[in-house]
Amino acid sequence: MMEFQAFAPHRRHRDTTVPMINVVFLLLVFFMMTSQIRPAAPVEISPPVVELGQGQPPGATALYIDAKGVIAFADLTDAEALAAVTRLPHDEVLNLHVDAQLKGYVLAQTIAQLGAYKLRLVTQAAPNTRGGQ
Amino acid sequence: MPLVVAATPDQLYLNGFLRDAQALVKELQAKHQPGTPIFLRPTQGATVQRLVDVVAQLTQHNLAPVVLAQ
Repeated sequence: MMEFQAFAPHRRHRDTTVPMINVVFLLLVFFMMTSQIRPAAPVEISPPVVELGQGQPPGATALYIDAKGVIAFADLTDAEALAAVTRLPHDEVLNLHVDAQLKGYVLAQTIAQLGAYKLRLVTQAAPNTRGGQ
Repeated sequence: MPLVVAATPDQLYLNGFLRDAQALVKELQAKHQPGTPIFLRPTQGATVQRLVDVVAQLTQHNLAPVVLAQ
């Protein structure tokens, strides 16, 4: 006795790999076009932590001071960095990226040396809060 | 008379007198005139983190502006 299988028309499977690759590339191009690469800090710092924050300050001129008191601005350090900063217009907003373990009097001395600038101390939110600055 | 808060790593002084955190806030609330600065002076190696904590504590009680002094 012969057995016949039910006739099942052979359906062509569309290849779904190519559209997926297209979408992945579109996303890749999108993120490459829209993202900004943040410059690395010239010195290693760990900012002070605050419980309450107001969000990260917007981009501005950044001055870095590490835990040992090394001042960095762009690719300059210490006296050269301070000299370069003091040549900036005095209406410039300076973001101070300061290590949490820096001695407070060093920060006070540095601010006094800077003269009249609008300064913002950059901090980070405590892990149990979400806020920012 | 200016209000000067001196911060050490573990103690606070108001115009030279040792105060605990609560007493400091109460005394500042009584003496501080709105708009006049409170001077914060780091002493004995108080770190920036310590200063930030003190400023956060004061501003939580509307004690501002706090000015960092040498």
